[in-house]
Amino acid sequence: MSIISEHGYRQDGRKPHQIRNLNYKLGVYSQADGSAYLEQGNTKILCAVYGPYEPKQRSRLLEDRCIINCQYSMATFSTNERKERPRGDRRSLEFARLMEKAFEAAILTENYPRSQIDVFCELLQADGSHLAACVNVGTLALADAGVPMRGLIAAASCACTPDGLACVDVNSREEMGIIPRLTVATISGQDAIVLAELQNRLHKNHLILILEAARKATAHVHSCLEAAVLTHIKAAIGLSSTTDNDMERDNIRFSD
Amino acid sequence: MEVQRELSNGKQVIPITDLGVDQLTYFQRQLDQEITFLTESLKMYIPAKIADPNNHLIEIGTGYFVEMSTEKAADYFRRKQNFLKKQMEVIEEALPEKYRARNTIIDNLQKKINEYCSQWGSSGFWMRIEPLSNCERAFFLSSFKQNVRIDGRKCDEFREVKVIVGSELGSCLVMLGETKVSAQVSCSLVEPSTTRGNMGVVEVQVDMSPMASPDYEDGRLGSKGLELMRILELLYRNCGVIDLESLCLRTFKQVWQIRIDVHVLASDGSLVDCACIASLTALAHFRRPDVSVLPDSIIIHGNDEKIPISLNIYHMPICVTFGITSDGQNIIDPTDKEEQCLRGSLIVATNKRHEICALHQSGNFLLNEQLIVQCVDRAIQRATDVTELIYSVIADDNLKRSNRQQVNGFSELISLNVLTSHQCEPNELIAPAIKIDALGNIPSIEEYIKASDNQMQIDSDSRIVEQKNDEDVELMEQVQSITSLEESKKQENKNPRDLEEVDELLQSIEEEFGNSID
Repeated sequence: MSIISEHGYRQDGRKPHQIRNLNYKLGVYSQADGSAYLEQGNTKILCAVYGPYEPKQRSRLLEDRCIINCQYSMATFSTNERKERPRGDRRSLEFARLMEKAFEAAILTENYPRSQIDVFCELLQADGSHLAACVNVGTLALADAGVPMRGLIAAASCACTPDGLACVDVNSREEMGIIPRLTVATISGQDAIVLAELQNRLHKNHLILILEAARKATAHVHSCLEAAVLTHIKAAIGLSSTTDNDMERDNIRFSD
Repeated sequence: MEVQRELSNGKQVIPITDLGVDQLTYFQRQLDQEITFLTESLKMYIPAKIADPNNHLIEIGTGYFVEMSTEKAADYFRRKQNFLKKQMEVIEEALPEKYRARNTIIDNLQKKINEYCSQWGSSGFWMRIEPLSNCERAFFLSSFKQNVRIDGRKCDEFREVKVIVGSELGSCLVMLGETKVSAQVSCSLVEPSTTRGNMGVVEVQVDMSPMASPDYEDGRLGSKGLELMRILELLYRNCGVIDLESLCLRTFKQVWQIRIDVHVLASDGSLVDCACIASLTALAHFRRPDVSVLPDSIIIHGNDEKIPISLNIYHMPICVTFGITSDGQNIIDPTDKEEQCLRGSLIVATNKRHEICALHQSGNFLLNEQLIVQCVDRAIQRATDVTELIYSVIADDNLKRSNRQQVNGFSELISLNVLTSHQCEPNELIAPAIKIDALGNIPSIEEYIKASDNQMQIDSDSRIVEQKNDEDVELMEQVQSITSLEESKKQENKNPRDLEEVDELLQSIEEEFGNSID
């Protein structure tokens, strides 16, 4: 079967350049400095950030900047087959390292020397584009914690069909074995890439097309994240003129 | 009185862990003095004779002597023994406590020193590796702006790659400048996983030897080792380098497991590039034993029974490391010191079919699309060149093995001083067997002529005639061997210098042959 039908639609009814629905909630945990919950289609992730604090291990601290420590885990019930080991396997360690690289490039680490920021991500339901969703929810949690950043990091994945078409924000059925997939994270949706991760083989002629489509998808995701943070700040300060319920206001749905 | 005071002092409780380094040192010295005082009681004794049995001169102390009678002296010494016994009992109680306190203080002092060293180490002053000075860093960065490097390369040039395959199948050594990586491939029969029962297994093991660099620890991979392991696993498991389905013998029961061991022998930057080439060459060089699958058993044939089978390799992804400076300049194939000046590096893996196999970004820097496209184009050119190099090395080795010639393997490094002089042919080392034979011919001819001259003076005419016949036969044999060498040299496209040497040898032999006839 093919990803795109002959009429130009995908299996879930999207066009190739459309992303899935983004549902979010900021400030999920009260004991954490920053927390966020994100649904990107059927991919659901929770994230908690414990803000700049003094590290317990003295040997790890750096004199000129802070340390970003990321942990990624998949819940045992997140996939169709029960996962035996949610943490510590090679894939979760890879994801944690990639997230650390992305956040270190965006966070102004020079503002907090000799300190540490912890980011914990938990995947509740898996439906493709896990790395991109983790980066997005981490950005929301860091914004909720008030950590200064150069810009919101927006991440999106992009697949290349055998016909040479670009499909953004792939789900789990589109993540087949030999389809090349590229996950790109940018700052503020512009041409400043902090993360580039490629799975499977991709021909050179399709590279520019895939990069362009992925960057546009990140710009799209960034507009959704920006609106989410703005809405959360307005609700927190109380600048909203309407008298609607806070819960309904936080659960604003963004879709393309 | 002094002992009692010490006891009263010892009863006080002092928290040792809260003290600083200076206070701990002071207490250590004080305890050493106390222990020395308590144990300093050794004196010398010599045998002697008594001159006057009735009177004795007794030493009371501090240089005073008193003349006593025998009875008074015995009573004095009895009282002194009682006094000493009491004192010894007191000392025996105090001395172990002093020793224990001293050991505790020494342990805490050592911990303080270790913490101090570790604090210094984390702030950039490493104990074993030299840090990069600010002058060096500024020099490197300014030379990058002028498109010049220390070893004479430009910013877009690679170092020379030397690939040597070993005498054992599946082993190879790759040298990329000063970076040296050895790879070894082996196989075994294992039970597959339940999810992929019809596919073989590829396992990658990376060994960051402390010989390569002082900051590598034995048994731990570190950040560079983890990165190297992850990229190699990404290439061999996800990109489909090897045909895994052909490694299946019995579905869900027995499959081949290919194990790739990568040993880093010397580290001077671009570690991923060198390790990738080494592991690919080892995979191409490897042969697994032939197997007969019977209905109830599996027969593995030895190398003498059946010829081992090579692996199915679909493509060869070649990694290229691009160092990125703070202002976005691109440095290809950085050395170890250059890597310390750079902001980060981008590793691109491509094959000669213009396919991108992996993108890896290490360090904290911002990429853009144009930079990625430039790096990919440059990496594809590199992949084409290195793939041709690997194929030529494997083809040469296969040709030698098929012709039953001796495969020297890694011993070439010793004979030609490759590891110490850092000079050798780029593709493969060719043994100079012909030159050795040519050099060996000259002294034997001279010796033979001298012997014949001596014998002519002594022996009779009949023997001289026989020796002349022997000379003729040997000369003819040598001429035939040299002509055959000349043919082999022409086939191998040797230098004109070698041809001139052969001509000189032929002329000298002809002259001697003419002289011997006369």
